This record gives sequence, C-alpha cells and structure tokens, in this order.
Amino acid sequence: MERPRPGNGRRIGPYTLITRLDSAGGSGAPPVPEHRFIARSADGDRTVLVSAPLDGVDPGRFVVEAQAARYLLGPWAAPVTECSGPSPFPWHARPYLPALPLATALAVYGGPLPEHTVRALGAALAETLAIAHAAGTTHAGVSPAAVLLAGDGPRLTCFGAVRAAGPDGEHRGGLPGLDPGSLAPEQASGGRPRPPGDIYGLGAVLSYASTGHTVPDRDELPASLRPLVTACLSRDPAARPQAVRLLEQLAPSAPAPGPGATVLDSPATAPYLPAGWLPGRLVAAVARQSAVVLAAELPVPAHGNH
Amino acid sequence: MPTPLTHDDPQTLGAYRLIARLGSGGMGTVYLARTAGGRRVALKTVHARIASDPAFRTRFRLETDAARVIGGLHGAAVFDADPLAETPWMATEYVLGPPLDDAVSLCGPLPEPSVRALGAALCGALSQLHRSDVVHRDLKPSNVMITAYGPKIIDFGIARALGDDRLTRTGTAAGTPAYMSPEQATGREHSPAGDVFALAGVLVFAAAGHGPFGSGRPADLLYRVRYADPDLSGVPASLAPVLARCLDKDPARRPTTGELAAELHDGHGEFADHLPPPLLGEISRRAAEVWQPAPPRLPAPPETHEPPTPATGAPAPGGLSRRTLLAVGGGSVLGLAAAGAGTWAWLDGRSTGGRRGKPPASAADGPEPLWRADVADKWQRQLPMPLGKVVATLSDDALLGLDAKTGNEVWSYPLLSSGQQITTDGKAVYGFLPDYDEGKGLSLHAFSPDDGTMRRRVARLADFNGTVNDAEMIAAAGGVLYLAARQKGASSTDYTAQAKDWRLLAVDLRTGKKLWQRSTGVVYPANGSLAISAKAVGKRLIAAGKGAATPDYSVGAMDLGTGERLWSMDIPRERLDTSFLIPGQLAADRKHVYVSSGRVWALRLSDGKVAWVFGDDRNTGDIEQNGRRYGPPAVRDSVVYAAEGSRGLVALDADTGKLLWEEKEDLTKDDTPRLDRPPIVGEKHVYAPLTDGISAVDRRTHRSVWTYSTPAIRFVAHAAAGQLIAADTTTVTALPFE
Repeated sequence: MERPRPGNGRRIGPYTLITRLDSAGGSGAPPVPEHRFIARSADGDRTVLVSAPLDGVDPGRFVVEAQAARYLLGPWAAPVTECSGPSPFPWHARPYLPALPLATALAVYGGPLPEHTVRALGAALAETLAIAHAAGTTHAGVSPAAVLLAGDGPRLTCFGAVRAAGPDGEHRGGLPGLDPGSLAPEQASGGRPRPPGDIYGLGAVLSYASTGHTVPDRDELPASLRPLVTACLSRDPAARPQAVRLLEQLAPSAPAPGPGATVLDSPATAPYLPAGWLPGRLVAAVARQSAVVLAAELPVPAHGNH
Repeated sequence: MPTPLTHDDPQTLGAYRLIARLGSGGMGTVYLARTAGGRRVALKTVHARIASDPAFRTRFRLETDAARVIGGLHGAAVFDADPLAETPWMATEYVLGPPLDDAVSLCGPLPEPSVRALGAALCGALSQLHRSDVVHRDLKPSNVMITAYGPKIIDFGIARALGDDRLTRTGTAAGTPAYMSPEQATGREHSPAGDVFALAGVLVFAAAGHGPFGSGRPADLLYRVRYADPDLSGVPASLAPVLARCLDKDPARRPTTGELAAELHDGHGEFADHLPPPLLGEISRRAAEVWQPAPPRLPAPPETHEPPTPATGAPAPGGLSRRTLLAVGGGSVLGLAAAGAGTWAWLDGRSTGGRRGKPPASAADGPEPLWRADVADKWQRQLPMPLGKVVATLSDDALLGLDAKTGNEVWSYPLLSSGQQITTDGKAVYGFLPDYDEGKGLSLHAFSPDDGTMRRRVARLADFNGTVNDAEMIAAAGGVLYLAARQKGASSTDYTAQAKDWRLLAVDLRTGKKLWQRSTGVVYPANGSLAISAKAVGKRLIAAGKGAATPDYSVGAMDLGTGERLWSMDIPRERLDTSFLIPGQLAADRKHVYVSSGRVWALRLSDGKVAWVFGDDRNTGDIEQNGRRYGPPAVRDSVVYAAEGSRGLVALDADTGKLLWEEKEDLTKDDTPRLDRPPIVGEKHVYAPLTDGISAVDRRTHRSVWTYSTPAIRFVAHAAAGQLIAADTTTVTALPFE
C-alpha cells in the first residue's frame, strides 16, 4: 500500500482517493483486473474500497458485473454496496475493511504462506464458491488478485472480471488484467464462464499462496495439497472437483450440523478459520494498514462545510 | 470497544466530530472522533469540573507533553491537544490492540516468548523515555496496549520530567500500588530504575496472570511492595531470576533497561511472530471493528411521571446518566477503552431506565429506597458523612457531595481520593491535599458541605510531610482537628525506624495554629491493619486501633487539651478476628467506651478500667472457631446493641452490662448477622447489618420488621434527613430511617 499522500485530491465518483490498494506491481506480481483504491467520502465520514476498470475495458460490461456483485452471498463474498450508473468512467465501492491483497501478503510474509493458512484460505473460498454455484452464479474472476486477506478471513472480490474483460466467443488470452495462470483454458478460448472455471481459478490461487506462482511445478506444492490443487487445475473442466467437495476436503473437521439443528447452532466463526489462521506478521500488516488509514487525513477544501 | 454516544455528549470538540464512546472514567471520557478530513482519533477529554482545578490542568498538559515525547512508535501518536479549552482534550492515534490486562483476561497468561518480546519492546520504550529525561511512574498492565507491531505505553497522567517537582507527589497519590516501586511507595525519588521495577511487575502479570505483590487494599499493597518478596509463582523458571533482580528493593541493584532487554530477547523475528493466536485474533478483531458503522446516539431518557426533583445547583443536567455509564464501563481513569466484549446494543436496554427516581426495592418486604446514586468506591475506607443537606462520600477518584433529598451529585472534589484519610465533625470534611510543591509541607483543608468546591485551607504545617501515606486524619471536634503525621526528616525504609518521625497533632480549625503535638511511637497508616477509630468524648479523645505488633485491640484515651495520654488498655482479640475498624464507628458515651471481639467490653472513660464484660456462657450459635463472637457495639440512650454470633441482636444495659433483650429469631429467615459492622440505632428500629443486607429490628417487639438486600457493608444514619445511608462499592442508597 502506498503511503497516503496529502494534497493528492484525485477522485473517483464521490470519493477522494487516499491510497492505492495494490502495490505498484513487480514483474512477478499477478495482474489485477481493476484499479483499486482506499478512498473517503468528501465529508470525511465514510471510508471505502473503490474500484474502476482498467483502460481498454468496456465501461458497460464493468457496470453490469458491478451491479451483479451487489447480490453476492456468504461471509467472504464482500458484495459491492454502491455502483455508478452507466458512464464512461464507471466505478463501484464497498465499505473499507482492513485487508491485504494476496500478493502483498506473500511479499510481507517473505514467501509462500504456511500450509495451514493456505488450507483455511482454500476452505473459505470453496465455501464462497459453493454458495455462488448453488445460486447458479459463476464468479468468473477468481485469481490471486481477487483474494484479499482480512483478519477474520479472506474476501473474494473482482466478481465477473473475466466476463468484463471480453465477451463470450472472443479469445480472452492476453487481455489486460486477466491472469493467464488463473484463467481456465475453456474461458481463455472464449467459452462462457461456468462453475468449473472458478475451480480452476481457485486451484491457481492455492498454488500461488503455497508456492508464489499460479502455475506450479508439481514438486513445489505441499504434499497434502498436491492432489487437490492439481485436480483443480485440470485442463478438462469435467475433471475438476466441485466446490462443496473441496470444502469437505479442506475442512474435514467441520462438524456437520445434526438433525434438527438451526442457524442458531452454527458457530460464530467458521471452524476452518481458527485464531492464528493468519500468521502474526500478516495480522500486523493488516492492523498497520488499518492504523494508517485511520490516521490518513484528506485535504479539506477551504470552503469546506464541516 | 466503541459504544454509542449518549444524548448529552457534545457533537464536536475542537475540530473533531464525535463518533462513539470508547471509555469513560472519573476524570473524563474518551471518544472515537474524526476530523473533517476523515482522520479517526481517540479523543481524550477531561470533565470540565475537574479541569477547573489548575493543578489538574497542569497535569493534563504535562501528560500531553509526555505522550508527545514517547511518540507514535512506543506510544499513541499525539495529533493535537488543547489543554486550555474549557473541556481540555487530546487527540491521539486510535491504538489497535487490547490493554495487557484485557489481553490476559481474554487469552490467559502469555507464553514465555510473548513475555520476552513484550519485555524487550517495553525496555526500548522506557529507555527512549528515560533518554528524554521522563519517567513514567505509572506503568501497569492497563497502561500497556498490545498492538501487532509492538506494545504502546499510554496514560502518562503522572509521568513527569526529571527535576520537575510540580508533580512529584501527585504520583504517589495516583500511582497504582500494585506496580509501584518501593521508593515510590515511600515517597522518595522514583528514578528510571523505578520504571524497571514496575516493568518487571507488568511482565510477572503477563506471564502469570497476577502482579508480583498480589492485589487488595492500597495500604496492604504498599506494605508488600516495600517489605515482601515478590510472588513469582506461575512465572516460567527461565524468566523468574531476571525478573526477581528487577524487583530488588534497592534501585541500584536492578538492571538497566538495556541490560534487561538483552537478557529477555535476542531480537529475532517480528513482534507479532511471538504473539499467541488468540491475542492475534483479538487484535484483528479490533483492527476491523473500528470500521463498523457508528452506532446511533442514545436518546435522552424518557420523562418520568414523578414530580420533578428540585434544582440543586448540580453541575450539569444529565450528570447522573453519565455516571451510570461510568459505573457500567469501569473506572479506568482516562484509560483507553478497556471494557470487555461489548456490542453496539448492550447499552440500549439500560440507558432508557435511568437511575433517577425511586428504584424498586430489592426485598419483597424491604422498604423502597428514597434514592440511589452511583458512586464507585472500590476500597470502602470511609463511611459516608451526613452533613446537613448533603451526604459527603468518597468515590474512587473524588470526594462527592450528594444532595440528601435526591442523591444527585451536588459537587465533587477530584483530588481527594480514597487513598487519603479524611474525617468530619458533622459540619465539614477535613483532609489534606497532596503536596504538589514538594517541600512546602502538610496542607490541611476543610470542605464545606454546601459547596465542596469552596475548600478552605485550614493550616499548612511546614515541618510535616505533605505526601499521601504520611498523614492520617483522626477526628475533628470542638473546632479542633486531630491527626497523625510524619515529620520531615531523614527518610528511612526501615519501618520501625520511621515510627520516631510520627506525631499526633491537634490543630485549631479557626486559626490554623498547632495546639500541641506528641510522639506516638507507631507508624500510622502502617500496613493497613492499624486503622484507628477515634471519637472525642467530653475532654477526652478516645481511640481504638488494632496494633500492628500485638494481636489485641488497643484502646486509649488522651486529654484533648494537651495530648497527654491518660490511659491505654489492650482488649483481647480473637485469633481469627480479621475485621478492621472503619473510622467513625467507635461506640462511646459519657461513661464508657465499648469494644468487642470474643466478648463485649465496657471500659471506663475515666481510667480505662473494665466496667463490665458481656458474653461469657452465651450461646452464640454457629460461628467460626476463634473468630469474632460479637459485632462492634453501638450505644444510644444507655443501651448498648451488638450482633451476637449467628443469632441476632442483643441489647445490654450500658451501666451494668446486663442483658435487656435479645432479638427474637425468625426461623423462616436465613439471615446471618455481620460481625464486623456495628448496628445503627434509630428511634423505632435498630438496623443490624447482615451478610447480604440489613435488617430493621423493632426496639419494642424485638423482631425484625423487614430486611433489605444489599451488598453494602457501610451504613450510617442521617438522622436529620430520616435516612439510613448504605454504601457498597458501586452505589450509595438512602433507606428510610426511623
């Protein structure tokens, strides 16, 4: 995250930008399909994560996906809460939550994440996809850039990035913002995004988290994750596991609710995200981001009506 | 933990818009607030009534200075402050982590690597402070916030620049005895080595969940800090030796912060790497929680149908509701939010009821309380003091005047705290204010009941120490204040050697002149068990105390005019009688003074000889062996009343000690008399303290007519107002007194 720069009054929609969410991007960093900023409303009251399309992306397609992303369900879905209308410069926003992009997390941690963290991350993302798929929705944007790590669990963002990047039927390989390692082959060749494509993206995310790249050498993967990640990354969509099966494999200890159980019986937090799922120095980085944004101050116009 | 703003919180302070409350204490409130540019800060404020005291304002300004010295790395970064505003405030970074005491109660004692990393980081923080010639003086678990990137030291309420004597002695008043250094406890220079002592105490707490000198009453703690070996049970064996060296009574033998840091930690890894998962989880939670939408401001309490209470000149409307929140939120003085796992909603249910007016009676057959006031008083060292239209009472951080009709707070004086002895003659409250200008001596003040803020200096005794623990008010009567105080002189840590410095004094309240002084041969506040209770009767001052050296109660009389000791008498105390005397509860009439333990004794005022003894061959029911058998007596109209064992009251002829009547037991009730508090005698009833309430025994029928459930253990009659005042650690209640 860049240090906030006072005096930089750039705005997106009604929001004044505080800082970029993603670091400028080294050569190895996975591409991000949208511009993401931490930003604040003019009255200083609300802080948000605001996104805008990359250059060359169709503004209309971006808005369509943003509108759909308002209705995502599940604890780790981070739905969009505000969206511009049709515009040459569209944007969408959600309330700010301190969180690190996965690439930043690896940089902070100093390499691939510990296996227990990867498993927890995989379980949370698998649950999120299982919920979406059960509702007939395909995320079509699962990639390392889409995954933010907050203190209590991950957040899956970048909904519809694949659909926004290019229409079905057109070759999507090499389009800006799309991570070739995370793009399922059938989607790269222009196929309509379907749930197995999300599973491919999830495989790429877990591979990235545990090795530092989306296309791993088999040997790099931790032994216990190797079959699962490899299955997700099958070229054949039919060979990839379903999200619910992945959840079962990644969080086998999650107790199934007994007969007669209601929502009141479910634990307050997901059993696959125990305290300590996130390494200490990542907690520190998340907390520091929160502290920096808390202390960030926007320049107040001289005629401000505060 | 953010909680909603209340209806009487301001919208803005300075350039800050208030968002939520983070915590509240007796000194002020801490808010979550933001600037027009959206910067979110913790905004500490000081109550205007406290800020009206210039000494406190100076303290607040020095605190902001000290907070700036430590800076944002080891403390909470200070963004802005206005110590001169009507409501002084300081805006600091919002610290994302729990205070250490919360961390330990939430996650249990910390593992050794955490303790080591914490200790090394705190050494770094302290050495930075010390390099800037500032000592903290109040390092304790609640002042250490654990963030993921290191601890931050907050609350420099009493930190001072070395050589700046303006606040030297305030520190002794406000410091936490549990982590105080022995030199600080004796009122001597608290050097950087004193901070090392406190740091080690904090680390013992982190590792074991308890401080090195336990907990309890301040006087007991002070004694242990000075004389007892630290309790290192629960501290990992590999850590104990180094912490023990830091806790050496001799400052010169303690390691420096640099040496300690090197011994604790080799510096590998990042701070967060050493924290246990539950603590990391709590930090994460706090980092996210502050971004939750602010809860809506609480509505004003609804109008009640009761007749409006008469105007009392109370400081601010809504003061009481603020006190309600204060009592719920805990008493940390300007501490950052420390309340446990609250939610936005938890206050809703309580805020609307309010505490004004008539609360319901607790017992089905008990009386309706006339009023109730929230007064936090952890140590319960002093009885409430009826003073005409006002009931004066000590709270944890102030002397309060409550309207005797309504219980509303009429005034408060913040610097007179429970740690200091005060006394009253029924007209005013007398006490001393700690000596800010070190060396100027003991300042005695009178607080008039009508307006407690109009204090009057009675006397300044230049040859006596003006520090807390160095003086003890004993009694006031006939225009004279009697006190014990420590003369200036060679300060010694040797407890017995200090005894020669203590004097008993009489000071004329009108002229401020010292009438006489005498050696006492004992150290007064001592180890906390030498509480004395005194009463002026005729020309004599009668005092009863519990000897530090002997197991007995010691009762003595002296001539009020000269201080000459007339007689003294030891009354055997049962071996397991651990009750202590609260000043103001000594029973005496024109003939006798009455005391009790295993039996009830009447001593002749004239010569101290035993007039009669009651209690031999009595069935005292089911009570502890070697414990008290009789409660402290009370006397009225030539009848002595005392609780007898587990059975109830007895009434004795004051002249002869013959039994006049005993309470008729009510077998349907399960009431147990308290044997450490005297009954209160009214015209119609005798009010007998029970283990969980108080019982009104009819003086005619000798039966209990009602019992009222209350945790209170301090009861006093305000006869003129027709009230029985009951005080516990959180509440003062007025019951009908007949």
